[in-house]
Amino acid sequence: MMNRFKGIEELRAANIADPAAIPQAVHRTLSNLDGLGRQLKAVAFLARKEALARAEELRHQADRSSLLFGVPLALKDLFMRTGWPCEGGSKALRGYRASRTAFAVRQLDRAGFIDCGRLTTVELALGTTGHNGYAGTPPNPWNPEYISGGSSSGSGAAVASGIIAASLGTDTGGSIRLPAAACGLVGIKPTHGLVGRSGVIALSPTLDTVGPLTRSVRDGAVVLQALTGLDKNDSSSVSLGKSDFLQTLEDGIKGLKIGLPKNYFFENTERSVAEGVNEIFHLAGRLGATCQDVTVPGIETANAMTMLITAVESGALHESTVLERHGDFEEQTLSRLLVGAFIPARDYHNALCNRAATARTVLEETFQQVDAVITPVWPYPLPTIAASDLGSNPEAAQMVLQSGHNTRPVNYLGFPAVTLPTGFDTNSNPTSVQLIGAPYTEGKLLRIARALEQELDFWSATPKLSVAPADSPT
Amino acid sequence: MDNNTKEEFLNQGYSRYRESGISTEMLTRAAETAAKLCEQSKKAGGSTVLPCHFADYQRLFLDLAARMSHDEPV
Repeated sequence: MMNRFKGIEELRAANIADPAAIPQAVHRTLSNLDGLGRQLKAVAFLARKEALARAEELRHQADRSSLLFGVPLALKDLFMRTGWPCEGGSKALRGYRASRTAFAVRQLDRAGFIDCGRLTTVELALGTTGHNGYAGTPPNPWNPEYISGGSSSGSGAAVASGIIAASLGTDTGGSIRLPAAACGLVGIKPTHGLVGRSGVIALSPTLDTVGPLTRSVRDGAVVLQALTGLDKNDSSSVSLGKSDFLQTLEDGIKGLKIGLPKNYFFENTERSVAEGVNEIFHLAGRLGATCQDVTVPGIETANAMTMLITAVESGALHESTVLERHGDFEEQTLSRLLVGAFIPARDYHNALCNRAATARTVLEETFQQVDAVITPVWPYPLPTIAASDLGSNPEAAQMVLQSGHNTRPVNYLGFPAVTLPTGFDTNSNPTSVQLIGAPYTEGKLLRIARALEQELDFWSATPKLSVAPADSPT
Repeated sequence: MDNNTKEEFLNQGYSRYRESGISTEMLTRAAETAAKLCEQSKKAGGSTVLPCHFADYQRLFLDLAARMSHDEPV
């Protein structure tokens, strides 16, 4: 039996049954990260010594009830842990060691996970295709000529290749959802404030979110459950008290209402992508959901607003590094970081002030009618690494810009979204849908995703990767 | 404000980056992108920008979270 592609439940159960085997299991994961993970250019930092020490600690721990007991994971290279490298995929941050530990990491620590290290990200999380000339561009495990998406590129590749059961990414304009969709994963972009963000290298403090990438809806729900709680160092953080994303997961979707948007989300969408989303919409109807057309009012400018806010805030955050070490940035990153310097304060302020009105309108006019809105994720079939490389292919600029068409507006609203793999396109790349919900309704979205997942059974097949020597059968 | 001072302010951002060695071409492209984004986002209207609107968003989400935590788990 392969030691890859095990889910959280299976790993946790094995650890509870035989804690003495935890170090050996962690050793295998570390070997797979070091072997296949590096082949996939997914690994930024391997915390071998620390992970094995933690494994030994858990092996002797009496309490084995935690949600992620002994489960080895690796996180995007934006999540700080005191003393560990955290370079954000950038030569400009080379050598940086964190002076604090991210709230999300501490939550996973409390849940008993074993932190194996950090995974490749697009430089400073500023990009959707996964390209990074310095840290590496992970190929798609399903189809190595194609992108793994970004900016949580290493997370997408490592989870899709079965090396780890889950990873944490960040999402400011689609950076969890786009690689999740590209790699056939479940990606959760939580509601504004649901998951604390302190200790994460920021891109846009207004829009950044933290969430999981997993192969199954259940695993996503487990990780989300472990992450939630009040982060006192994040002023947007909220606590939902006794929320339980697992409680209603298997309840099916009879009685829930799903909307297909008639405006914005299918603009400039490739026909096969639109047809694929329609099929899933109708599947939901056959499974018992009430399906109807909806409009999402005021969403047309949300894409530009997200980019404007991101430009200003990312530019301001990294201004001193740009001035001192601009030669260390990738050209694309530098171009993006400079835009904010030319945006007048009134336009930035306007974008922030419109946010509440837009969110209220969508809440009142769309989410009074439906529980979830279903949309495409990528508006076109996944591009190859070569075709979407702006460095060698500047004509790809419009295509790359369009990649976030369906994801960025959700960040502007601050609403939650879940991406779910649905099948494969004619290039044998994963296809996906995005489910958008009202604030703090992640439980409903996961319930819908779970019902669809059971019908679609996407992970009955796995990527046919060449097996690194460490990945020997148990 | 006289025209010289105005121009000084307008060019401040530009000069800072030019002095650090970043090319004029790159800065011009960035300024063009910024102009496009501002143009696209203006279509939202919202010409009346009141101070309360800024805090309204966070208050909205705090209220929604408080409501959700008193309801049954979803």
